[in-house]
Amino acid sequence: MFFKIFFTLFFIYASFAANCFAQVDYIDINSPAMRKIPIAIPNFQSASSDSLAVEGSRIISNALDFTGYFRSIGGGSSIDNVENIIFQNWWLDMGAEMLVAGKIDKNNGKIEVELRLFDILSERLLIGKKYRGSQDQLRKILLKFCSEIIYRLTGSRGVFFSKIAFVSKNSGKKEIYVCEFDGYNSRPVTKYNSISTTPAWSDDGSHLAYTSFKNGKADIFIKNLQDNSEIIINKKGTNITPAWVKGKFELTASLSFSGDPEIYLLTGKGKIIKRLTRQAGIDVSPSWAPDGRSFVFVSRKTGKPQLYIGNYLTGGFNRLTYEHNYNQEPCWSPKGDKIAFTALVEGKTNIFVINTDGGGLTRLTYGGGDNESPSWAPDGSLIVFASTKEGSSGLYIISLHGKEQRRLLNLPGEQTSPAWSPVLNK
Amino acid sequence: MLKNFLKGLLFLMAISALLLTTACAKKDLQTDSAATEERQVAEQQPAGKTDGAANLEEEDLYGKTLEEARINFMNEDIHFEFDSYRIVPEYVTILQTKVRWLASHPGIAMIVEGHCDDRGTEAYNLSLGERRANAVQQFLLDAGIEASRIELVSFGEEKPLDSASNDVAWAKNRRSHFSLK
Repeated sequence: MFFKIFFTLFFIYASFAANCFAQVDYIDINSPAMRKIPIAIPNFQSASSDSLAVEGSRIISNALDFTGYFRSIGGGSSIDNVENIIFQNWWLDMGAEMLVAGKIDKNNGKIEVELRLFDILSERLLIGKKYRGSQDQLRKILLKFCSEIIYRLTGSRGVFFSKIAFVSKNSGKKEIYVCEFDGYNSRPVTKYNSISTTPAWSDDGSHLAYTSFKNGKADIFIKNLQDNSEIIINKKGTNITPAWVKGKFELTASLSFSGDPEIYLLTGKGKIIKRLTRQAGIDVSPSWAPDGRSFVFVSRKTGKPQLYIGNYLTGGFNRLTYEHNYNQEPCWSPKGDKIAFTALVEGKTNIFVINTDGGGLTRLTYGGGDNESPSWAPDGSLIVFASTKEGSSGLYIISLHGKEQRRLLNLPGEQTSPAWSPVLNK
Repeated sequence: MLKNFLKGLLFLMAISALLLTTACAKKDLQTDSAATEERQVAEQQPAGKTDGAANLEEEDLYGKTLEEARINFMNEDIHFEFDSYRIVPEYVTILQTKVRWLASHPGIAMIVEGHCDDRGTEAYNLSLGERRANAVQQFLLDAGIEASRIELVSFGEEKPLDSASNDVAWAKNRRSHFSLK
């Protein structure tokens, strides 16, 4: 009996320790000095389709590179036998510390995918998975495995199952679009032939709210992405800047039916719950903290737009920003400790990050056009924003530490107002 | 007695019915002839122009003035300073002209639009545009124009007159525009 209890306790302790170990083992995503992990991704093994194997390793490389945590190393001969890996010296010569080995085969119209992650330095298998599905599920299968990798190495699920909503402008019309986290598969959500802007995801990712001039003036539309049904908030005056509350099916918006634009709390069906601000002047662009109680917003009660943090329960608010006199577009980070926003510096808009206590002000973008509308990835590691640095406005991704910028997608026209979704279909 | 009364009533009804029918018939006849006359006039007109009166031109100045006033009402925008919704004194005269036109056209309702230049965010500019439209509305209300005739729309930075990014374009785009409903 005693041994049984001792054994159980030991087992619990051991698995707990293993879990802790897993989270701090490889990548500390909070460290500004974080180093990218070089990861070898040789072409996958396939008896039935070489093109599928090449595509498979390419999708994994691109997805892992996208996170900013990895530097993928491709090329070399494909792996012959994924069940029995022979660790090759050239991987070490190339500086690779990790290895993804994969095997893709077609079988009765289905695909079978075997994927393994190895630590090359210790020659240890970290993850092994086998998936079976239809061929059009290949990308989903590979992203699922990427999600496992990120979870094993950082303790966070990553951004692979998130989407980005944005505005695309073509010949004067602005429509709402949605694409996957990496810009893949973009398609229109609205076809209003009007001006539609500032999309915002509900906390469960099932609804998008946005402002549209479809009916002649600015109204808020709440669209159910499952059945495409719409609810319209069309009160007198201007109905703008919808922002969903974290953890609830509620949103805030700036409505001006009382004469002054004020921020209201509404149900997901568009019914007013309460008014949150009572100030002369413009109050817009609320963004909610993960605790669902505090929100940051823009107010010009001092004459120039500045950021304030309001408390939903007490009704009180504190000024957050004092530097720069044109601070706007706040976006509260998913971890809750930081707020991204834009400020006007020497006539150009740039992206900054500040701690919620007002300290740690950091500039992320420099020079070349306006950089606007920051939105956090659901794991807080990346920020998507709109920039005119290459001429007409496009969407870009930047890491939290401002280290690198990448263009998200290339579509005709101008893209603005990106909004990163929560993690979908977890 | 009652029988006689009813008889009389019936008679009266019959007479009045008869009168009504003839009246209607007469009216029909009149409209008919009027239509014919009109047609004749219309047919004669081009013939008339070819002789003597051809060089005579007539213009309705009253109507033209009205039309010009209407066009001015729609075309003259009120402009604003950067990030401001204060009515600049030089635009007060234009607003007063608009008020006079509105006062003499009591049935007309209008939309007051607010616009911004593209600096600052879309959301902020939608609010700023609304404040500009509000400021213009307040001027009109103070001058006695009924609130029921005024509708406000803010377009923020969405509908620039000039899409360039320079001081001239920005100044053009920061405006309140009037349109008739």
